[in-house]
Amino acid sequence: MNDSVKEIIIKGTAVGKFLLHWGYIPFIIYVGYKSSYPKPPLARIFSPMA
Amino acid sequence: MAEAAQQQPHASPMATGIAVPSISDMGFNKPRHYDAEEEIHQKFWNPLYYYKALNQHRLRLNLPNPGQFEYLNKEIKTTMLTNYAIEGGRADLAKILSPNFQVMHSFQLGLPGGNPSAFEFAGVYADENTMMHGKMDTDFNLQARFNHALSKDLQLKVQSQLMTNDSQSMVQLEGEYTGSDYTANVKAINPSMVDGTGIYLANYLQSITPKLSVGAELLYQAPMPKVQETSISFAMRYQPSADRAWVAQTQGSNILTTSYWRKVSEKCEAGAELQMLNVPSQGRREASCSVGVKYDFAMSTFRAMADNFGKVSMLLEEKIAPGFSFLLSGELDHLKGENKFGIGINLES
Repeated sequence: MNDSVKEIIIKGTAVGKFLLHWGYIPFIIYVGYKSSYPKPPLARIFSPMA
Repeated sequence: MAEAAQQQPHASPMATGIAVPSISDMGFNKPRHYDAEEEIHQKFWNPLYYYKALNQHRLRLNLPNPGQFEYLNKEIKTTMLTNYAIEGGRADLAKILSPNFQVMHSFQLGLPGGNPSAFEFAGVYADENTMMHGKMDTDFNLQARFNHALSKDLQLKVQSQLMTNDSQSMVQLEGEYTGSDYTANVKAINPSMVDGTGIYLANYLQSITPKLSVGAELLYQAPMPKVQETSISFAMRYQPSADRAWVAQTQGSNILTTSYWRKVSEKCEAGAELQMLNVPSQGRREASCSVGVKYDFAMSTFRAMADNFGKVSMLLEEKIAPGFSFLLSGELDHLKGENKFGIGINLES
């Protein structure tokens, strides 16, 4: 396998890891919020006390 | 071992709401219909005819699906309290925002080790075909799970642990096919296309009689580009009736685990597990045995376990009000003198 292809794969996995790490939970919250009816108040998602 | 990389989520009793992934929830249980009396319209010169005729003979045997290979001993995992015991103070506040979406805040105080307090945020979305679960703690370590049913028989699972200390991150990709009387599963842990390292597993579990199922797992490890290692493990499960189960499993050629589970009555379940380790090259021969019992009452669940290393432990989960339950956990290690106690509350709203 070419060295340049390896470089692309390594950089791609690093970017993918970064996106997954920071974007996975916001993605779940977004999908859950959009699919729930009635829409839950946002304070209930982010605050333990609401 | 590859087993160490699997996640065991903390099981909280859900009186209402969506099915939070727990040890006793083995994926999607959809009714599967296989027709053994279907007429074969192909002719004898078509090679697929023989495959279909053989398949119909097999369907006529009417063997049940054996379940998943990693959950062969699922009953004993729910009876023993090793996955449920807590230490220190713990509060799990779960909010069910909709039948599909749930959010959980959990606080832990008094933990041993460097960091005595911890906070974790978890979000779960569960659909008919998809389940997404993500958990993040104050050190920004993420534990993510994703299950998707591509069809009624094929399931794709992705599990990942992303730590801020990147060398401990792992990702596991899994594909599982459920047939009428067999289950086949392929897993890849940290696969790397760049240098071919990673851990790859393939396992297959087949029912050979309505009560007995056997399976095998092949493990291929490449921790470094030129270093390769393989091993094979076998497993067997005998279930003479719905209230008892015998399971025996090997891991490579060194470890043998056997267990017996019995449902004594509607409210009481008991199990015993024996694990033997034999490594001739290091001269190690060890065994450990544990006996556990679980009592299910209307408002509480009580688990007790005794070990051969002098460890006695107990876990009480009491439902004080709908949506509010109280946990008490204690472990006494008589040989080492290390005792652990835990107190917790689970609140659902």
